[in-house]
Amino acid sequence: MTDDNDTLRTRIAEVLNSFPADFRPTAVVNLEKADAVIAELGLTEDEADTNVTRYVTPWKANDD
Amino acid sequence: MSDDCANCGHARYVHSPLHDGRCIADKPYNGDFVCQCRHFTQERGRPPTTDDTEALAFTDDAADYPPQPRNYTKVSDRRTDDTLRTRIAKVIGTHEVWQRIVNRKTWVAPRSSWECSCGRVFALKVDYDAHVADVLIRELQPELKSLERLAQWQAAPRLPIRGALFDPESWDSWEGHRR
Repeated sequence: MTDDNDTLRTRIAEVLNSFPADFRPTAVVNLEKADAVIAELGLTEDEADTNVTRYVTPWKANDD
Repeated sequence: MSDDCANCGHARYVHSPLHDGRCIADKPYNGDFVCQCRHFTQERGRPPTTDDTEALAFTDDAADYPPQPRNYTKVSDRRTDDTLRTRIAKVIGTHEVWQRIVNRKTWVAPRSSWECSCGRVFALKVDYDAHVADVLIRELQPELKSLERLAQWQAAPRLPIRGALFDPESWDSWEGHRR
């Protein structure tokens, strides 16, 4: 990966590639990778922990 | 009378992970079906109303009032949350990789390759990582769409994945090279 390919894709790929082989539980490692990706995206902790449930709740639909 | 819960919008008897697999909206109330997920409604930003309390009192589980927090509210166990973090972790978890070591004497393919659990095979680890990044961007498009930063990154040119050896459908044709 070269610096001129500074896309979101290459950034995430480099973050994932920085994790060595790990024998800890997969779920724990995946959460750490997710944290690293979130940091790469520049998101805050609050944004990362906000529920992103996709279905629209009735009162939200009415508000819109 | 709608078959959907007037409180949270779920269809009746949906086993939602947000409700710990419990059936919801199993009692008619005030012409509609309502569930007991008072905690859920608070979390979604709507303050509890008197109707919520009455709905809780109407159900057989009124003895359990106030309802105990569900697993999905625990900060210590984020795997049950439905946040951007857990969603990214789930996507990564569905695309795990293992390295296939190939005997050079009997195999014309590169000595080793990286096989994703989705069936795709890559010659280099960086190409596998680029594949996971692609999946992440595609799967999380709705959540990331509102980010201005994402729009800036997406404007940059994208290159195809290098080193993708073959599709899983053509695996048999590669097996033939062993003869």
